[in-house]
Amino acid sequence: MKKDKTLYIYGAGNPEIIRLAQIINAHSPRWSSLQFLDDDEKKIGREIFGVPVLGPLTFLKNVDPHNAELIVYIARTMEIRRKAVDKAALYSIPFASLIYPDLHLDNVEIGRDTIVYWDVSLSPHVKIGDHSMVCMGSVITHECHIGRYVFIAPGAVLNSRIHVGDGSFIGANATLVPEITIGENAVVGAGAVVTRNVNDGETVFGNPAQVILRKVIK
Amino acid sequence: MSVDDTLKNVLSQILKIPCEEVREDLTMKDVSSWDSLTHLNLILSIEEAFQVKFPMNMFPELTSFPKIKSELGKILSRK
Repeated sequence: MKKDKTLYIYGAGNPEIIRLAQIINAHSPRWSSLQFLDDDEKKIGREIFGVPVLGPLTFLKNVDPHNAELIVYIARTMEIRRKAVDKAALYSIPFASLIYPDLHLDNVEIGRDTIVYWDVSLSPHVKIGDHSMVCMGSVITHECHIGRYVFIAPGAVLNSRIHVGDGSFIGANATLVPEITIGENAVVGAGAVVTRNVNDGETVFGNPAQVILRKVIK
Repeated sequence: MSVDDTLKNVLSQILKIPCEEVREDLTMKDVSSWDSLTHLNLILSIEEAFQVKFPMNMFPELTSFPKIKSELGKILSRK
């Protein structure tokens, strides 16, 4: 890896991403500098964990793609994340994935622009698609397939051969029993115990998880 | 306070919109803050305000002011 590479982080939200990038760099140097980009003018010029917010996404116009990598750190909802990724992709900067270095990865596939935090357990033959996020302490056991734009909140347990469709959100400490399918753009509420398949666009909550909402197109 | 007024107050508070914007035909589509988590909070708050319980399988249907009002009316009439 070239030493003068900059990691641009689109979305100056919370400092966890900086911590992760610093841990990765300490493990084996990958970026010479870290920079935030944010379209919120109020954030420009501020610093988060010593990392400055340089400017809006359009700043990338003047960046040489050979010396840069980009990660999208916008995940308020997966819909918003999709739009942010579409905008960011226009600048042809290669997407980086940030994966905590000490995880045991054995036949695990992880896509581009995907973040996997510390204390995550990924068993063999797990696949995680592009633009997804797997938060601290979640457990994804063997042969689970996670789609694109999936957010897995801290402490979620996905218990073998589970499929999660694109754009879905798995809440903190949710438990998913083996061999179920979560559709696309579905939401599993925090702490839910999911014992059955969840259809596209459904929100489930509770123990056992029940549908509390079906997708409303806005 | 009438059932209508109390209900409008709860919606206004949870959806963070002014009371006068809670129209008789308000639906989830009209309010950007009405997402899945807000939906759950909304139903739980209505339950608390009226001391009632909605059956959980009805939650996905309660996505507009008229639907909530009509189901709430049925439950209150049985009380």
